[in-house]
Amino acid sequence: MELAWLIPVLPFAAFAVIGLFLRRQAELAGWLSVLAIAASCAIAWLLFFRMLGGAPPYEAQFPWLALGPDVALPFGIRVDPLAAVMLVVVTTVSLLIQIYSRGYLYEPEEAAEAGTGHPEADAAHGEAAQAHGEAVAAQADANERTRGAHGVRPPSAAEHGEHHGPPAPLVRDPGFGRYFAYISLFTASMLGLVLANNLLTIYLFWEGVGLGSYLLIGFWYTKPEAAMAAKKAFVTTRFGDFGFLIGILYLWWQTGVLEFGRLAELAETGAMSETVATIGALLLFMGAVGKSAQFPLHVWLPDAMEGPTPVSALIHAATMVAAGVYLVARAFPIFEHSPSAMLVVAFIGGFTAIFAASMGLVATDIKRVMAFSTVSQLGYMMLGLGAGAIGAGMFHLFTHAFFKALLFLTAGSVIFILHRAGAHDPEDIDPRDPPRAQDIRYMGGMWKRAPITGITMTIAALSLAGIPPLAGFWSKDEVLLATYERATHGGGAAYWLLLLFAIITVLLTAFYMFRVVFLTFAGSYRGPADPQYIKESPASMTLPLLVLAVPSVVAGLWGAPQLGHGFGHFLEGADFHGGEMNLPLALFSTLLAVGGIALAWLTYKNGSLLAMAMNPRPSAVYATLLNRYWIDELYMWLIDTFIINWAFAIDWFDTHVIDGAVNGAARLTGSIGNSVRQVQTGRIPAYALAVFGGLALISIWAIVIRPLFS
Amino acid sequence: MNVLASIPPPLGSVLILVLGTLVILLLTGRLSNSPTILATIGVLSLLGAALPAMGGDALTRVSVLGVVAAGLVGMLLVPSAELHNSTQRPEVAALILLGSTGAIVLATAGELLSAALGLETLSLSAAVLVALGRGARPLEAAFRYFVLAAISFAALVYGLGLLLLATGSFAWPRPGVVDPTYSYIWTIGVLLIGLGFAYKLAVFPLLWGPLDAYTAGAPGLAGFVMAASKIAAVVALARLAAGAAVPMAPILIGIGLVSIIWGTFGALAQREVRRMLAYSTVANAGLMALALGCGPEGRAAAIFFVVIYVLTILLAFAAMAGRGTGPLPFGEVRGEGLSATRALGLTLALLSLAGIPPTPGFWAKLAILDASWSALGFWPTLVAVIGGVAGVLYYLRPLPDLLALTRAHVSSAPAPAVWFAGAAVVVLGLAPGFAYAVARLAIGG
Repeated sequence: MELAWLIPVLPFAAFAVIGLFLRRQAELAGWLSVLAIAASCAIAWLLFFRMLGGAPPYEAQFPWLALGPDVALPFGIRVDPLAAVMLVVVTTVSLLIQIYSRGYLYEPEEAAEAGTGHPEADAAHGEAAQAHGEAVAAQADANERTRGAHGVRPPSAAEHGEHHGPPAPLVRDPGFGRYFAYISLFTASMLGLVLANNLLTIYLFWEGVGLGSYLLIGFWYTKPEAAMAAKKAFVTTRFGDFGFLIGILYLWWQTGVLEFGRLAELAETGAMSETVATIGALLLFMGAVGKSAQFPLHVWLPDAMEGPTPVSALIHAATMVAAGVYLVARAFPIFEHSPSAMLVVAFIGGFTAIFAASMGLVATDIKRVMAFSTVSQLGYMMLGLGAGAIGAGMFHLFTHAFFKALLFLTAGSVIFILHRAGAHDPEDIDPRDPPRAQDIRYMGGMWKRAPITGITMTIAALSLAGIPPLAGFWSKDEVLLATYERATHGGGAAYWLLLLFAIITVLLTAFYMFRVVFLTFAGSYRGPADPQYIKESPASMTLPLLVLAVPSVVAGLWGAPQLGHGFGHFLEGADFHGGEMNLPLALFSTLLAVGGIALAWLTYKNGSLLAMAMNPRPSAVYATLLNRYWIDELYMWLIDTFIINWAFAIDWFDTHVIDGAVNGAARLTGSIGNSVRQVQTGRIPAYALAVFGGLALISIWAIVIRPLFS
Repeated sequence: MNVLASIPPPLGSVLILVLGTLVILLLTGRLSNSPTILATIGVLSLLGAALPAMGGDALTRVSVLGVVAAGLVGMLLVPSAELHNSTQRPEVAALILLGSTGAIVLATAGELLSAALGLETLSLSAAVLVALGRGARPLEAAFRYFVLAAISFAALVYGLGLLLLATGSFAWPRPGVVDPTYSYIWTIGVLLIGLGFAYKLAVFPLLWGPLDAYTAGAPGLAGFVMAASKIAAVVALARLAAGAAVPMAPILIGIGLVSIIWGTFGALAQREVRRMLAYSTVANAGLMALALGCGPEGRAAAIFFVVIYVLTILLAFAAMAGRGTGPLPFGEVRGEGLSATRALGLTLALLSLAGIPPTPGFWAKLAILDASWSALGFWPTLVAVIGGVAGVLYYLRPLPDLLALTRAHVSSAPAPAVWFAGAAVVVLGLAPGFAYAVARLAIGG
């Protein structure tokens, strides 16, 4: 247990070493980063098994900033079952994703030159490419410096009509070392967040996580979309964070403590009033809404897909977005103390689940579908928590981390394969469209060419859709059950409505997920690349896919009611009171999932509806979904109207009015001085007049002002 | 020995600085060609000036150390400062020492007349330091700074006169000593004096001169001007607010809130680092003014904040020094070829300014939010928090660009200054408790 502090420190050390010394030693940087997280992962599993074996929670803290003789802000860590589960998830997923990244971060040489390229190298290519990579490192550096300045890529071989030339060789992304520094920083922050035992410490790492995500989303920062997306993500989550920070201050002012354990005591014994709990919980929840991309702060997550795909898998599937759910779980006693706060959490969660799923129905960018899916699934987790079942919410977080990371990584593999095969964008591509290598309308027929990617994505999709006995089925069932229980035990009409939302979402989820699967893998290839070069990704990428497929299948069994609710008992100990599986409910949701898959099959695989699906008639509903309910536009309008315009008004005022006034005054003084100099110089009466006049003015002023102060 | 021991601590510091100034001015001819020796003399004078202050009370120690830190960073940047003419380096060094003297006198003055002298010494040095920067913009900015400084100084002198009229002395105001007949004169006097000090803090509506000076001057020198002015102004205002809370507090809170909003919006519109930092200084000055209006806790928070803020801003300016007086547009930070040390220094400074934990800027903001919440309640604190949140919008804009860390072509001359300020910022971030304890002690809380 005493080793717990090493878990975040090791990746942080990797970050520091890479950042300071190894920025140019790409290969070494990658390995160091992987080794550090592997060691953390081993320790995390060790702790996990000790917790499983019944070890008591471990807590350690020291005062950081003394605000008074007996008031100090603490820094502290806590290892308990909740933290242990998260540690295992975060380190394992992060380890696999870092291994995957080592294969992913290559780009075709011509793209590197033009600066719009994407990752890649396959195992056979890899060696040559890496050797080649060193040679062109200096040039790639220069490219990185000018990337984006060029804007327009020179026409590729494909566009010259040489369709049968082999695709360009691959070189390592020039930011390779930087990437691993960032990802280590991010992982360290996330692990610190998980270990935090008080609100201040969690906030500290919470911001660190946000910063890491900002840097990683904007990794290809010369791409304007990436820079914009990074900023949008950071600012949107910051908006939630400001509620979080106020919440911390509020709880501190009301209770004088910051430690989760002591706050829980206060809430459970009733020493904290329900009003305080409600206000505090809702303010904390603002932070969670931002981080976990819940409505109405969900807008950043789809855009965050501009980052490298492994980053999306790590940050936007398994770790950072789960931090909001984790925060609510950590502060759960405070939430539980306030039924109204619980209802808000449940409602935001349930609504987000169906709302995001609806947008996932029409997105054509493979990564954005995954993003909407993540938002929707996070909504499920919040719904589970809001229904009072911390076990259900956290269990869904646990299983989701594996199959969603797998989905993102398979999507990355697809993008990578198509990119390598030369899926270039046409010159006249509609700027609203995703790149061709990411657009599911321009995929297809990859089943035989990339079987590992295909099989693993199908497994993950089945798991997400909730087909028994895969992981997603068990955890989703727990969430539905918790909502149902709450509805039947005094939760009232609101929870019935939420249950309805959750059940409809099951159908939508199965449909949009298999829409992606069928459009990507079934039929024949419809895109611009030469199909003969479409082949499976290198082993460094497929291996993590295979490894992640295992928990995507079996992780759910740990919490299965038939097998003794292992997860719930571990997490909640004696407090756990999980019921039997509600068979009709489980059956019904499974049927809906199967129905959704069938519908997707009819629409996209069978072909009868294909033409319509590919070119949907522009209906109002379709346009609304495609434009994400115009919420982004609404926010932009609000920001423009209330912030940007004011900012420019102030800037204009300062540069024109004030500067003008000062310069004008100077000119005026100068010219008056010149004109009156000869007349007035040295005339004592004038000076006296000025002095006495001034005195008179001040006297009048004082008499007028006097009543105001007396 | 007895004579030496009987010198009050701040006066000892001042004497050593004046001595250093004289040495540099006497040796101008020789020193103009050997910037290293020049900087060494300057650094030694500053370090020497810090010693006697250690015998003083906590407020003296905080103010002298803060000013000395500002002077040190400024002095370390003298060899690489962008000047019209490199023979002016000794003048610049002398002006830094003189400005430090003024700031120390302002911060530690036993009565208001000395404070006014300190203020004027600081103002003059500051204006000339800005004016010596290379190019036409520094000259214009310095002129503007000087004109507005003169106006605010005039207000201060009027205030002194009124205070003398009301109380018969130039002592720092204390509650309860004034004859009720003169209370309004006293009130106006105190406010006018506060206005004079507030100009150095660059709060709304006294921000325009400093804004230009910070934007246009040679970065190292502008950083010194900014840092020394802030620390002296906060300490002086803290003394004034301690003795005259009745008229001062509501006004400080009011201008604090307006400054936060004004500075935040202003910074949002900027497209380059230096003017963005200048605007953000207005927002930060607003935070300090707000805290100064919040009783002893608030004044302690303001002192704590200013120490951290000053070191952070010195780090930022040191990182940008040596590359000319021109603007540093967000998109071109990389093209400017900041070396890795400087890019990391600027990054650290920006993170701290944005209040990202565990940088010291976070602790500083937290202390002020805490004080404001306990003294004023929710709404003013909300404004401060929103200002902080919006700060992220502009502070982090250059970050991805900065961190690409491409090879630099600019000399690494400012490296010692960056290391010094960077180390101070890191230490304050990891161990903020000591600085906070000193700040509380300084306020007597």
